[in-house]
Amino acid sequence: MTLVLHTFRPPWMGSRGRVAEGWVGSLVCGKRERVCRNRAGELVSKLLHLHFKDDKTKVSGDALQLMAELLKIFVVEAAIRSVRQAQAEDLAQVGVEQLEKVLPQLLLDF
Amino acid sequence: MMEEEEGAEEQQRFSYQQRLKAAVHYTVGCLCEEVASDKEMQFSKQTIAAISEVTFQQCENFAKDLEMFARHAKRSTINTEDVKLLARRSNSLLKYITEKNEDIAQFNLERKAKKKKKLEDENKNSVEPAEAGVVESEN
Repeated sequence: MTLVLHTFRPPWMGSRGRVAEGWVGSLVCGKRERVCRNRAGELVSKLLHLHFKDDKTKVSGDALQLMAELLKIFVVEAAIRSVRQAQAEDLAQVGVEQLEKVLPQLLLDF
Repeated sequence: MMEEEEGAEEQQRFSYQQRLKAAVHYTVGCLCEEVASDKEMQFSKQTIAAISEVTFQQCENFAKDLEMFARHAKRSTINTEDVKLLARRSNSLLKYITEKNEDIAQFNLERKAKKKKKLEDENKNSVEPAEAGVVESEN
């Protein structure tokens, strides 16, 4: 199944060249601010380190940024696929039932 | 006595986890809001909470996998190759992540080049008069 993100390119995505900065930033506050980038990195770093078994495990800066991207895509895919499901069912609001229907495929894709 | 200490540690870890979950919930909320306004659809609070819960759990899988990938390559630092391996299950996801990796690398390269140039310019301005002095004394 193709990434919905590719077919529905929302207006806030911007052109490829400028995406790197905006994306990592928007993980935290949805704004394209460079300040946000550090906060996003911090949260992702804490989330990963929480589950590491070895104390010596570290994450490179680039890998951290990439992980922030991956997590953002995960959330946005979950959201967009649920919306699609709700639209297909002619609903005005996205409920947990819609999310439950798209969750299996989402988890298989990730 | 030992049991008490262990209990306190458990409590600390639990409340730390709760704080992280709250941060994830806030972030997920922000992202869902952007999608909602773009698609002109509303998310119920329970849906946002559910997405947030799934994301938090997925982080655990990601973290453990990343750690294993790095260890398998006999490294203690997780790098972008490990992250790309994580995104292997969907072709379009892998493609997207690979592109994003190139964007990030490119962006960091440009940032370093700017910093280096700025440093060089500053050094040039402070070193020039000194160099002139040295040349004179050598003659």
